[in-house]
Amino acid sequence: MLEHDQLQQLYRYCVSLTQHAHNAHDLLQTAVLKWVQKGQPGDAPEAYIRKIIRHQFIDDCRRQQCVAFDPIEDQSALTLSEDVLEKQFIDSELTAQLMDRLENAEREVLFLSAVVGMTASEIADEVGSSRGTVLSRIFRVKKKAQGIMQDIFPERCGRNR
Amino acid sequence: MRQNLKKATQDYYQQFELDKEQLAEFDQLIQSDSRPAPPHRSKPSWWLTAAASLVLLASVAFIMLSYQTEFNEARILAIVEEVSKEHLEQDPLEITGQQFASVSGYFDKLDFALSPTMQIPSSMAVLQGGRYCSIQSVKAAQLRYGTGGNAITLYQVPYDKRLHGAIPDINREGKMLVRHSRGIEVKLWVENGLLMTAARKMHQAP
Repeated sequence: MLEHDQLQQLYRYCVSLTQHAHNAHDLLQTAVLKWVQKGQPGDAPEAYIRKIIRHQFIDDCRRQQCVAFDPIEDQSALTLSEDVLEKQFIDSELTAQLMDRLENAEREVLFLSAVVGMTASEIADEVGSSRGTVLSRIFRVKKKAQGIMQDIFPERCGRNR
Repeated sequence: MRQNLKKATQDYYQQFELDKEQLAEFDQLIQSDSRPAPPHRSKPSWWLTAAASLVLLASVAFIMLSYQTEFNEARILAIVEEVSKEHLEQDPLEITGQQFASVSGYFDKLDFALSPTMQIPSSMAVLQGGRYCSIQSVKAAQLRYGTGGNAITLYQVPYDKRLHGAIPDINREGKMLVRHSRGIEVKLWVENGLLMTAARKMHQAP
């Protein structure tokens, strides 16, 4: 059985991938239908359905001939502390702008870290990449957030460091 | 207000929420696959066996009744998936025209007559033409109204409750079902014995 708060969390995960409320609803509906058709497996249905959502999102992108998750090889953030999201500040009204600037993979990592509360290792296991890649994506999120703050408040950004 | 990125992200996603109707649809979808727990095995005893049999019979009756209800939603979703995909594909029309009588006359291979519907008045969209298609493997007609992003695709096929699920008759019940798939809004209703489904692109929220 899936509780309503689990459905809301899964819906928000779909929003993090699609950046569109209606597309997110469709994606979730397709994923839940597949989960039901498989017999509702998994002791942790939320994690299981997230995997279905991710695969479905990749399939949908492939059909539309776009790339779901851009690969990166930058491993320079390996020494990045995992609490970087708590140390980077942003004006709350600029969050939507940040989300528009992030790539799908960056938004996904940000969501899984900040909203679901997963560690970099857990995210790496879930999305099938290395911990280094996950940290690199978090680092890029941080840089983009800094970039937005610099664009809007250039005189303030010295105090952010 | 300045916040750390973790809190800002949490607050950002809080604004996205499924509404009550959407949650109810998901509950129905999930419950359509509920299975009863297997009967508990206990020491053989005639009255226990009789009681268990009665409970089992009652459970089967209840499940069949519940399944019939939940079966609807799965059937309806299958139709919605099919028509939304066809709407997006926008295959070429086989017959073009703006007069319903001349366009409907093209469909002589169907075993039913097309029916005009008041649900798509000419003030909403102008008929462009049609083509043959199928709905759940039954030969059907596809009529296209309007053009470009405002196009509406109307499908007509004889209504079969066993195949299509319980869908309201617009003339008797005055309502239709509305579902969404792939960014397409799909409306379903029965009119003059035909299942009608109308697909159009959902308008993005500001």
